[in-house]
Amino acid sequence: MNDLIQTGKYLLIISAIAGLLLAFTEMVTAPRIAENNRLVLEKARREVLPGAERFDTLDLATTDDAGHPATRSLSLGFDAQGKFLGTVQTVSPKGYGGPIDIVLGLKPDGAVSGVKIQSMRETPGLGTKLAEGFLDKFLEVARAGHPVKFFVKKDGGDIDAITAATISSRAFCKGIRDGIKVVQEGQTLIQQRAAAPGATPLPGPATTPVAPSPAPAPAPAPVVPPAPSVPPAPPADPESPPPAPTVAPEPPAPPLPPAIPQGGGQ
Amino acid sequence: MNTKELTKGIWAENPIFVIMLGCCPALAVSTSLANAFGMGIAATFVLLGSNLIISLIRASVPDKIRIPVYIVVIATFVTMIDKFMAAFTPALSASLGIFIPLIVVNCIILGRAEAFANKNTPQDSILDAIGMGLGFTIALAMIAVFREVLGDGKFFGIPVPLIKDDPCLLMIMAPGGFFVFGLLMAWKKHLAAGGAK
Repeated sequence: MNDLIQTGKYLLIISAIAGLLLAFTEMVTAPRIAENNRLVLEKARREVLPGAERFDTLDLATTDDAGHPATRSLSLGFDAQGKFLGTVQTVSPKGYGGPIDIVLGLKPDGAVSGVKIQSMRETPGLGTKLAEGFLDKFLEVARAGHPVKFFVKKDGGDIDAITAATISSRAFCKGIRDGIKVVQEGQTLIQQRAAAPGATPLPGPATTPVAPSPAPAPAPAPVVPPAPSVPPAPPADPESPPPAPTVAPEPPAPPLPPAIPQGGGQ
Repeated sequence: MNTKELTKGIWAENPIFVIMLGCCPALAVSTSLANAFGMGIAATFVLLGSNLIISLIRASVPDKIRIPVYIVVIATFVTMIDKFMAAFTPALSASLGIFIPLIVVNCIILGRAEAFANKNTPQDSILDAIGMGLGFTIALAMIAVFREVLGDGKFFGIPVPLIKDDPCLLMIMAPGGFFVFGLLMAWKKHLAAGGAK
């Protein structure tokens, strides 16, 4: 009995010390890790959307896999002249060892402009090949011709899976599809926001308001967020006029623009 | 200084080929030389810290609960390294960070705590950790050379002529890992038994 108390006390003390050390570690490192991640993300955003100088955040309401409402944060990229270049977002599909954080850049017409893997916990040497040969090949396919089917070949898509890492490859493709879906569902808001910051002419046909046609019924109600969910925060760049007044009063008029003619979201 | 404690891990008591500890990460990570060295360095570092701490506290740890105590110590240490690396050396963390979760389950760490640091002075435990870490790294690199060159057609990421166009994919997958592992172990035993017969 005495022994039990003795050993129990020892374990308690050791665990308490460990807990304190971990709390201290977290306190010291958490802000720095957050800052590091922010810098890396900043760099990644510029990489996946070449030419973008300024980013504007837009929160979109969407649904997660289980059908629950969720918020996705998108960055709208503009070049120095304020021209809308596309969107950047982080998608986190579930891979073999945990979520794979992918920074995905999409052009206004829905094509993939760039992809970068931010972090992953895939098996070294197998799943981690996502960031090596796989990514180059993926970009080649994604940029070459569309519509691209973002599924691995085994599932009838256009993407070569990594040998011995099919789960990772599938997860990656799913992340890309999710990202494309979010942008498609949020087209209206994205276009409003893209048009707001500057009076610059909009590039391409994709950003001109498109006649509403019966789009492939995209999920239930929470998909199109009500206008007030647009954050009224002004864009990061002080030069451009705050977009809030332009955006706020407009209801998200047409229920949905026709899905971008990409093979992805099916 | 007891150099035997340092050198035994490299050859006579090599953790992979002789003690056969840490085989799981050895097979998973030995697909390329870069990964082998990354894993080896990260594991050596963790081993050094855990061996040192455990040899320091060994006198006060009640025998009955030593394993849970070691696990708490090792887990705390690994988590702290992981966080500090991510905060202060992000570049290193980006290249070694993926191995950290694998090190947590690497039985070499607990194995050496239980089999060595538990019974020896901090000084010897440090030597043991360096030796075992080196032995682990070398063993991984030896397996990785065969697997990367034959299975991926590359040597340290540089394409090897002739093989690169049509590498033997099996070598990069799990069975290839077992083949190389087994053959190297046999070769090691053969040498240890006195060479050619």
